[in-house]
Amino acid sequence: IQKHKRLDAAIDAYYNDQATRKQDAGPSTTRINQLFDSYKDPDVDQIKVDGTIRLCEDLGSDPEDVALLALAYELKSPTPAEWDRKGWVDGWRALGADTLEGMRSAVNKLRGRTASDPVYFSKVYNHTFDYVRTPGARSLGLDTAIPFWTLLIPHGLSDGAIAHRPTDGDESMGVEEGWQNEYTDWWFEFLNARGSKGVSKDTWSMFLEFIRSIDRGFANYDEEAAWPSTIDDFVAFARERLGTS
Amino acid sequence: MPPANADLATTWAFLEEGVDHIMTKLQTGVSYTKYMSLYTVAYNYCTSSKMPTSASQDVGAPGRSGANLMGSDLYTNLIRYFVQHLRTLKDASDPLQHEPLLRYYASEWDRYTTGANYINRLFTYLNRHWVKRERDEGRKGIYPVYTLALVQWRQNFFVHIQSKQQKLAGAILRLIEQQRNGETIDQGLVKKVVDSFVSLGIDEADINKASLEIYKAHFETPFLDATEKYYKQESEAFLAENSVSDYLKKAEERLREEEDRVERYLHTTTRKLLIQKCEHVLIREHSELMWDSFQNLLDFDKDEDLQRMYALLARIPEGLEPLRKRFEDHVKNAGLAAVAKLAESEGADVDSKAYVDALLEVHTKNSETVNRSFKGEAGFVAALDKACRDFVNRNKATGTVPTRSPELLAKHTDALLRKSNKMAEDNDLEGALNRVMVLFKYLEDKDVFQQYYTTKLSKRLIHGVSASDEAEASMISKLKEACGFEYTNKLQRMFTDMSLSKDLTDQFKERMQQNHDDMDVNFSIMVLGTNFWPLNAPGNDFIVPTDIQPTYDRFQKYYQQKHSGRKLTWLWNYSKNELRTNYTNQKYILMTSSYQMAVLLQYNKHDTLSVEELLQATAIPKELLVQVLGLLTKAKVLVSDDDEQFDLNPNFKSKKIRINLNQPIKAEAKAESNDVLKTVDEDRKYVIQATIVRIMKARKTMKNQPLIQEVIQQISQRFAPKIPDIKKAIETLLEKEYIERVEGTRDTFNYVA
Repeated sequence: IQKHKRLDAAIDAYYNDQATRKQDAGPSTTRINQLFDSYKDPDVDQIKVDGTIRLCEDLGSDPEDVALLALAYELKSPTPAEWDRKGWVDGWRALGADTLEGMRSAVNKLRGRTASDPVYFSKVYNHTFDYVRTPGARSLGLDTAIPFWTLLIPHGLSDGAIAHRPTDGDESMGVEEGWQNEYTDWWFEFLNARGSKGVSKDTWSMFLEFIRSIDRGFANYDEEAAWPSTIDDFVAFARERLGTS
Repeated sequence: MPPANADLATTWAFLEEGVDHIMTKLQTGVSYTKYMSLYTVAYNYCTSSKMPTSASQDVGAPGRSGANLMGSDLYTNLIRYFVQHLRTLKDASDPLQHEPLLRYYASEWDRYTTGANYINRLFTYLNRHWVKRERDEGRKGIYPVYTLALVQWRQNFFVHIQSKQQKLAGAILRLIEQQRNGETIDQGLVKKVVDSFVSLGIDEADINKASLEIYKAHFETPFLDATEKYYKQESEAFLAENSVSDYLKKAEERLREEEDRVERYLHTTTRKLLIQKCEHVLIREHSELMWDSFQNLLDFDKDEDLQRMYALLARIPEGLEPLRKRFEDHVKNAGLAAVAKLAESEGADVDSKAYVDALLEVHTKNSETVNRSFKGEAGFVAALDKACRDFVNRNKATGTVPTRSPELLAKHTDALLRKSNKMAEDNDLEGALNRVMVLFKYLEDKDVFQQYYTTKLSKRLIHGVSASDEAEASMISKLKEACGFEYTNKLQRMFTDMSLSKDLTDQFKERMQQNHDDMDVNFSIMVLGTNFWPLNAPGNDFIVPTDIQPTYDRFQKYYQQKHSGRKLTWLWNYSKNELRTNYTNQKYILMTSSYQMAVLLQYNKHDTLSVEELLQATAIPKELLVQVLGLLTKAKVLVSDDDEQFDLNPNFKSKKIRINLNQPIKAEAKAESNDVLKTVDEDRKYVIQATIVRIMKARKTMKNQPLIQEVIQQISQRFAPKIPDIKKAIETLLEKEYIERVEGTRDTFNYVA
């Protein structure tokens, strides 16, 4: 993994160098604006659903791609399938891309970063809650929350972004000791069986903390700590399942 | 009398004769002139040497002044005299032992100290000048003449006797033991000898200060050892043959005796050590046994023994705690047993009065024990409270339902405050209410009591069955005192509503008399604040019968004029009516509910009606209507063959003129209980949330654990909040954004203003 990371960084550096060499003045605002215009809705100064679909095609990414959640965070997209001009221009400038080619590689990089950088993953993860919830709603319906968890959690687990972080700071334990992919399914099963109304913002964000801190056997969980009660109940559920299996 | 400048030999010969006379034959008397001449000779001798002459016959050490030499001579001679005098005593004492020894010692001591006193005065000059100077210069072993006499006594007589197996102290101890065995002894003799021990202690640095060295070494230590041995042996032997109760008496007596002993003939400093020793041997050594017998004493109400045991064990620091623990268990078990007995004979549905009485009896009895036998000691009070809290809230009758006790207590209180309660005197009622408060103090879920109490009170007020306003007010003020203004706020508002309603009814009547003369319906109203009364509006439709429609409209209008903007909800389900029968020979008055009234009024126009028709006319839901009809047919006001058609019974007859048809419908009672619990649950959620907000507002930032602790602490006065409920409340507040998690932490919250 270490080697892979270094390779990644080298490639990044290479591309960045090339980019700066080619355009000394940085990315061209004009070109970014032109690209915005090409996807923009004819009626309003926004990219809407149609434009988004075309954009995804051009970027070569699936609409159900974690990278798009990261991109939404970077471009300050107000709500799914909507992009404002200001966010678009500022975002792409910051990402250093003013061509489709550049954007494609930027999106690839975001995908990689989301999988490997814990801090960045947290940002995208927590942003996603506000991003996808119905305006005015306090919580996220299970039918919304579960698909996005399905998208985010395996991705975060794939390259260390949600690596197990034991509370005493001992980093050596590695991924195997912490959250398992199948636990995510247990979590969904638990939530569905419980018939809860929705997922509060607190539960959403604490769930990520929970995945990071819990050990494989759910043994280090502290019921006295300030976890949301949903997670308390889930731990009881998971412990029982571990005990029986 | 030798001349002023006589030499030592001459002088001492004169003095010695005098000294010996004083020391051995004082009883024969010494004339004043003799005494004065002795004094003068001693004085002359000491002063003569001050003159710069070579009159001195002895050659002293070089560098010393004459006065020093002269004093020294006299002093040495005195010592020689004392040694010689004491040798005689020593020889005479040698064959003596036990009491005769003590007698000899005491009488010689008397004679010796008296004589020494005189001698001391005789040599005042020597004391003031030579002795003082020597001591000031730091010479050891030089004392004023009286002290010198004591030192000599000690060295040449006392130590000698004591060296023979502590013959002297041993003799005293023997006497003391005889006294402990119940014999009479000469206490004055003991005291005299013991006092001599104290006198013989001489502080080298400051002779005016008493030193207890000799007393402690030669008497106190062996005395304490003997005491320990004696009581150890005695207590064990006593307990082998007697009961613990008897032993308690014995130990108490022994401790008192030893206190007396100190008073009578020991030095006061011995008190503490002696009593400690006795407490150790008599109490601590047997404390296990006492603790174990405690239960037995409790079981048989041995008040005096309990009192004694308490008093004894209170003397050692660790003595009472095991008693407190045992007492707590005892009370708890007594409470549980009392309720279990009740539950056994009455089944799960215990009578509230019997239940309350059973709890109270246990409390009263044990509270008396605490006050009488344990002097109301705080630790026992706490043990009693803890035990009561336990069995009052959880027992056979409550099972696992924590709200049962508050419910039963509220029910009992309701029964007390009803008119039907036949408490002969107000004092009795007041006393009974006070006893309710005794148990109330122990309730954990005071909010449940509050809810039941509110419901019961509303019933009493609406139906006018409260025994007296005074008693109601008294009970509320008791609750207020126990739980604060907030707790009784609603209750007080209910009373306010009642009195306002009375005024309102009067005013309305007056107005109607002015405006209408067709008031054939007697009307009285209660307007009750929705927030203060635990009443629910009927969930069903109801068509106001035409006979009362005008009154209904008029009041509605009157009230809206008086208080525009207020909404009136008519609680038909709580209303009552009285109907006069005109169709029967005997005129009866039927006391009915609104629904019964609505049904019966239909028969003003019809003699027979079907269920369907009644449904249409009254809009009472079928379920309810069937029950109403059931009651009316049972009372024979209506008759029916098929439960479909209902006819008015024209031949209705009753022994009473006033007939109460308004019986509660069964389902209501059960529903009431459920309502109460639901309300309590809702209230608790808000109380917890409000408490968290209040705490967070004050603290701004707080960690999860301390926050939960603080919430529990603040609320436990009203009920015992469960941790999951607190966590849920925290989540709700997070969601409502009253508080937030401090960024980067998992367990710290911020107050969001």
